[in-house]
Amino acid sequence: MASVAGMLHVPYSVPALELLLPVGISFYTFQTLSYTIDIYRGSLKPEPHLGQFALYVAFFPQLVAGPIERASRLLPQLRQSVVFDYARVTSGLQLMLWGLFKKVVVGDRLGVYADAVYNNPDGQSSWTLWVATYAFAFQIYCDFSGYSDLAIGSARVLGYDLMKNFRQPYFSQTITEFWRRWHISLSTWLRDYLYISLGGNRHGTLLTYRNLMLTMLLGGLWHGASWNFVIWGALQGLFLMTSRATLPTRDAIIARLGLPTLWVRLWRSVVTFHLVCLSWVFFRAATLPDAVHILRRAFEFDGALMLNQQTMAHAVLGVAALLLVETAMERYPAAVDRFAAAPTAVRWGALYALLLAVILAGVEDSSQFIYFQF
Amino acid sequence: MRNNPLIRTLLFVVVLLTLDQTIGFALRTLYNQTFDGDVAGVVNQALANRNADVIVFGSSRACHHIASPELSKSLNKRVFNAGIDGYSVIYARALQSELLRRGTRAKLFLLQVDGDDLFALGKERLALVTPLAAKNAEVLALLEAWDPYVRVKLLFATYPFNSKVLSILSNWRRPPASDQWVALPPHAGQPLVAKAVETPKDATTRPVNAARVQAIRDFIASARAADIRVFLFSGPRLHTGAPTALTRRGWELLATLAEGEGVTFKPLDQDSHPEFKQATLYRDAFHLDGEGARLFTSLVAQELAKP
Repeated sequence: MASVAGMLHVPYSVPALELLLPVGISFYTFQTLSYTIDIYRGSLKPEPHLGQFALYVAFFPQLVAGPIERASRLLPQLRQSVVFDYARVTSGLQLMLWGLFKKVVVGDRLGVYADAVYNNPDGQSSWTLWVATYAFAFQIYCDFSGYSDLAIGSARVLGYDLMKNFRQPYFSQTITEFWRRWHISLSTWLRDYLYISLGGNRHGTLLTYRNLMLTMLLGGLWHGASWNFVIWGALQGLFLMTSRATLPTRDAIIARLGLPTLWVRLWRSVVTFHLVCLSWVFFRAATLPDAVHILRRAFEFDGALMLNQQTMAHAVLGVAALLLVETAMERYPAAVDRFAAAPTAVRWGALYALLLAVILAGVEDSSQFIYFQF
Repeated sequence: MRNNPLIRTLLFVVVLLTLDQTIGFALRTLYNQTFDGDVAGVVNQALANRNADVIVFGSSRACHHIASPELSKSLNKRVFNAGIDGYSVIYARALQSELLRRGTRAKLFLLQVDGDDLFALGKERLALVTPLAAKNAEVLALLEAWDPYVRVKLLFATYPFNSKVLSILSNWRRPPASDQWVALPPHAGQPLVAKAVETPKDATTRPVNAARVQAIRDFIASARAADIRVFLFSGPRLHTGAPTALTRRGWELLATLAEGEGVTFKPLDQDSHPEFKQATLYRDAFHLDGEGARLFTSLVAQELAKP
């Protein structure tokens, strides 16, 4: 209401409750919901041990920002005794280091620029807004997937396996694929407990589209009661519907044109990435009028690019390192195993490089994780 | 033996510490030879520039608003602008402490403080002065007030050069720019429009940032001990209506503080100088562009000329 009033230049503010909410409430609400629904559906037996159940709900590595674990995966692990395994512990620590690198070296560095622009969008040039939006796209990926790596890594050190939450989402060729790779624990939760419950794709095209839209709208609202998140969710729903509706036609055109597969894959990845970036504008902008202003201004394509060279040089090097590793993971899934089997000098060299990068290039006064607010 | 997890871990740590000390030593050597660039250079240049008669301290609203060449011409004195984007009076106090420790010929310090600055919440940015902590106990104390683990972090020789490597490498041994002032370009895109500033809900009750007030007091006391005059000032912002209650509270506090300490505080804003109501003088609502900065600098010079 306040956003709409602001756009109409009407001085109106919605009275807020201003309640103090516990950190991570959205995550463990979904986690406990899935437990309850699974028991209702008969796919899970109730946990008789209060301590085990409490540990499932409040398992510290993923308590505040996921991954949203299913009881069927985590509870059986919590019942088993854990013995010290050097290889598992080092593997967990290495994943934590990679997550920390993504968060403080790449994500937070990009965040310095994105925050500076998005917190003061008035008067920014088009190019500055484009670069800030790209910066935010990588910031939120590094921030959130970095946290997930820290959570999965620390759980692994303790002897528990958490689900993978990201699989190189910006390599996706369609929005549908993006949601199979981005915040996987949320998207699969929404699919299993909302989309399929609504009927999924079992009742014809129109109802499938309705279900997609409702699912993504609620996915948006899960992030917070704000018009920005509603529009973000609506855009995701719209993109999913359009992607689904036009895929056969697009495939037919590409087949007729006989374009090389690599070019087609690249083009699709670029388009998908830009659609995601478009929706990030609503996700990141402080208010709805700000988001509208940023989009309108971005497409005027003028003005000089305001850029702090040091920050951007750090960011570009960080993103290059990120893309190098993520591309290796994408194209050669066995790369992680190969790294574990590499000579000590290679492994330690890479770990020292990451550690020194965190000390030398990490943003010292960095903010907390973006998803801690949800 | 090599497969013993404990020995492998120990070996890993020993190699890490050796690497850290070696790289840290190399970076400190390079850092000490860097006098240009807005990350490593500003601090070193300010400390090395012992001939400056006037030194300007503050945030972006000092570094972009005080056109040092113009002020130098007006006062017929050598002016060095040590203001830096996003850094507050705590940074100014740390830099001043090191400057006085090393010795300076300056006879006037200009310190930019905004009314709102005295109520700022959150963590201070002090990364630029971390390399000074090894030899300056006052700087270390300032860092420690914001980061209780800073002494542990400083055990790593590379830590003081966090976020400075690229700046050091790209500006190493480059002669410093003669003019530290960087004029901001005019506002781009749609014309800038003055808007009313939203008054924070807790404008009348928000507690004062005691650390910042103490830093200003220490700044003035240290300058006085070195027989250096201090001039506190605050710059204009583009807005309609009156300044917020928070800003006014800050100005009142600064005026009282300045009077008590025997120095001058001047808020040069739209009220005192209506010409700052012109949006064409601004880069954005918080920053003057080059033309605005020249006008502002001339007003500061006039204030300084007053007895």
